[in-house]
Amino acid sequence: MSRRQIAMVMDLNKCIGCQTCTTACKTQWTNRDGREYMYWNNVETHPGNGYPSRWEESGGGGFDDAGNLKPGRIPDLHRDYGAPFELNYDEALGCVTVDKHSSSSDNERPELKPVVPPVNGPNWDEDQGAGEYPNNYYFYLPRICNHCTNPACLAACPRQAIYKREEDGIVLIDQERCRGYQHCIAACPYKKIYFNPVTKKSEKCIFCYPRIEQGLATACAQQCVGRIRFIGYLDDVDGPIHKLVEKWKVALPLHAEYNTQPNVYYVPPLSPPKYDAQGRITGERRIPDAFLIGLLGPRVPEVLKLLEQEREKKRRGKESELMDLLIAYRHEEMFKLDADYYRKPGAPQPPAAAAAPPPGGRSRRVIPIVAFNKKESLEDKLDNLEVAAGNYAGETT
Amino acid sequence: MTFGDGMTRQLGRVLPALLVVAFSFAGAVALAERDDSAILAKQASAPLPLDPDDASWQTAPATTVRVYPQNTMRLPGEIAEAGTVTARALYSAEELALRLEWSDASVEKARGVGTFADAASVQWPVQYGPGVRSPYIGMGNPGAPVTLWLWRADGTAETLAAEGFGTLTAQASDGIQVKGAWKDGRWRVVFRRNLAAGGEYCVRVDSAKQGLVPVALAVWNGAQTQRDGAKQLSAWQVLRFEKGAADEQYARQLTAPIAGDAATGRRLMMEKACAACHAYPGNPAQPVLGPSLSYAGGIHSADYLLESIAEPSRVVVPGKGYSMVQDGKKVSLMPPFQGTEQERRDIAAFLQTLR
Repeated sequence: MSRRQIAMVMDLNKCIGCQTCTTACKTQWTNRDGREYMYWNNVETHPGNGYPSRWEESGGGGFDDAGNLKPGRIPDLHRDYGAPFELNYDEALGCVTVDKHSSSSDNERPELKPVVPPVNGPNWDEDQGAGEYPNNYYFYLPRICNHCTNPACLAACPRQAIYKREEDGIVLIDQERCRGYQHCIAACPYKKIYFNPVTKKSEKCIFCYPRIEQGLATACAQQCVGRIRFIGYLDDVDGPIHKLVEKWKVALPLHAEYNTQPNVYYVPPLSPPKYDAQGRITGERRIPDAFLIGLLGPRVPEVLKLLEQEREKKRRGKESELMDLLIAYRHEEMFKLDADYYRKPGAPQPPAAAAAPPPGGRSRRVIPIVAFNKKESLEDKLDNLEVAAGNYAGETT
Repeated sequence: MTFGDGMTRQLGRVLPALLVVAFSFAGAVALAERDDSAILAKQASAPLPLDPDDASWQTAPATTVRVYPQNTMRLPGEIAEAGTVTARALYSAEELALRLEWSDASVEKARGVGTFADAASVQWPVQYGPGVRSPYIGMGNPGAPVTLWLWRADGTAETLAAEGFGTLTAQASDGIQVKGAWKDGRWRVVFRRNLAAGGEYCVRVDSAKQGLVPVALAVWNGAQTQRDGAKQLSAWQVLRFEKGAADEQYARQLTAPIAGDAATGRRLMMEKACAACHAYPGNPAQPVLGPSLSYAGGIHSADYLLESIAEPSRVVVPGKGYSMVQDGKKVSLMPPFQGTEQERRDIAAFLQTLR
C-alpha cells in the first residue's frame, strides 16, 4: 500500500456518454505510435459487453479469496478491442489513370469501406442496453485504470516493471523494464492494460501524473462536460473524495470481488420508475437493483435510497451537503489537488530499490510519449520542471 | 569406488546415447550427430557465414542438445515436452558463429496483442574458467551474471544480461548479428559475433587461451504463447574450440558425472523428505512447495546439483514461496542436507536421471 492514495469518483447519474473524456485522453496520450487502438479511458454502455468486449468474463483475473493471482485472458485485437478500421481510400477515392480503351468508369470504383470487415469496435453495442419497451434501460460506465491498492498487474509482472508510487498510489509501467510478456494484461481483471505493438511493451492509464504533479486534474476529468468526475486523496478529509467515499459512503468500487481494491469509485445511477402493463408508473426503478449490485456490490440499494432522500430534501429547498457536492456548482471544487505536495522538501520519495540493481542498472522511467506543444504554458511549465519525462518518478542508479 | 558407482556411470553414458539413436531415427536427424555435451567449433576462414543455408555449415560437426521445459518458475504459456536443438559452430581469428536448428511446426513471426514470436537464445557466463562455478542455469544468479543473445522470429536481435530471474536487462549491442530461416517445420538460426567485442556484460572469448566456454541454449514456441521463462532450455554445454588450448581439468569440472548410486538416491529422496516439497516422476505426492525437479538432471550441472543439496541458500531459486527473508537476506526454505557425503552424491546421481 502506498503512503497516500489518489482516487477518482464518477457520478453515474450525470454521465451522458458524450465520450469527451475518451477524446481528451486519446488526444493527450494515445493517438499515435502504436496506441491508436487503445482507449485508456473509455465509456461503455451497461448492460452491455463493455470494452474490451466481455471484459467482465475475461477468464478470471484478479485474486481468489486465498490471495492467489487468478489466470486471465489476453483480449483479441479485432474481436475484443476492435482495432481502428483501415479504409480503402486509394482504391475508392485515389487518383486513377484514365484508360481510353477501357470500358470501366468511375462508377465502377469500389465503395469506401473498411479493408477488413470489422467485427467489433469500442462502442459496438452503444445504447442498446436491456429490457423491453417501455421499461428498457441502460446507463454509461466510464472506465479508466483503477490504480488498485492491490494491483493484479503488478503481482503478475515477473520483472517488477510495474510499480505503485508511494506518494499517491498511481500505478505505472516502467517502459525500460517492461519486456512485453503481457502477463499483466491477462492478470488485470478490468482489462485496462494494453500491448503496444510498435514499442512491444505494455501501457496503461497513467492518471495523467504529469498534470497531477502540477496540481491539475486528469485530462478526462478536466474535460468532462457532465461534471461527473471528482479527484482527490482518500485521506484528505476536506476533499470531495473523502466526503463521497468515506463520509457519505455513496461511491462504490467496481467489482470489488476481484480483490484488487480499486481506487475509482462510482455513485450508482438512479433511474426512472417502471411502467406497469396498464402504463401506470410503479414504484420500481427501471434499472434492476440486482444488475447494479452485480457491478457495484451489495450496498447499492442503501446508496440509491440515500440519494433519493437527499435529492428530495434539496427539492424541498432544504440543505443537502451531499447534493451540493454531487451537483458540483463549481467545476474546480471537484478536484482537490496540491502541486506543492509533490515539490515541498520532505515530500515522500519513491523507495530506493531494495535489491541490488540488475546488470545495466535499475531504472524507473515511465513513459516516453510526452510530446508537448511548446506554445502552451502548461507544457512550458512541465518542461521547466523536468517532470515531463517522468523525472519525478525517475530513479536511475 | 563401489561396483554400484561404476554401473551408474556406465549407464549414464549408455542411456543418453540410446536416446539419441532412438531420436535420430524418429526425427530423421543425421546419425553423425554427437551428444557428448561438447559443441565442437570448427576453425574456418573469415568471413563466417550468416546465412543458415551456407554450404560451409556442413563442415561443422552437429551436436544434439536436449532442451527441457522450464518448470522451476511457474508461468503462463504452455510448456511443451522436452526437445532437441542441433548446434553447429564455426570460428575464425576474428569471429564466432553458432547455428541452431530445431523443429517448430507452427511458425509465428509477429509480436502483437496476445501473439508471441518464436525465439531462440544463447546464454554465456560473464565469468568462466577453471575453478569458476557456472552461473545458475536460469538467468544466472546474484554475483554470477550471464550474458545472452536473443533472436526473435520478427527479425529482432538483442544482447542482454541478467543475474537472476526477473533481472534481464538489454545491453548495448556487442555487435551480434542474427539471421533465421524457417523451412519445412524447422527453424535454422545463425548467431555471429566478433570475438573481440567488449562491454561490461559480454562473454569474452579468446579461442587461443580458452579452449572451452560454457554455453546454454533456449528456444520459444510462439504459437504456444511461450515467452519470458516459458521456454525450453538446455543445461550448460561446453563449446570447444577445435584448435584451442583445452584445459582437460576444466573439461572434467564441467562434465564429470556424479559418483553416486541413483537407485539409493531415489530411496533417499523419500527418507530425507525431499519428496515432501519437490515434485518429480515417481513421487506420488507431486507437491509444489519447492521447485519441480522433473527435469533437474536435464538442465542442471553435476556441480550445481551437489551444491544445491548441501547449500540450498547459495543460489536461491526464484519463485513464490521458495524462500524467505532472514536478516535482509533471501534464504531458501530448504534446510541444508543432513546426511553423509555419499548419500548426497546418491541423491544427486538420482537427480541426474531426471531428464
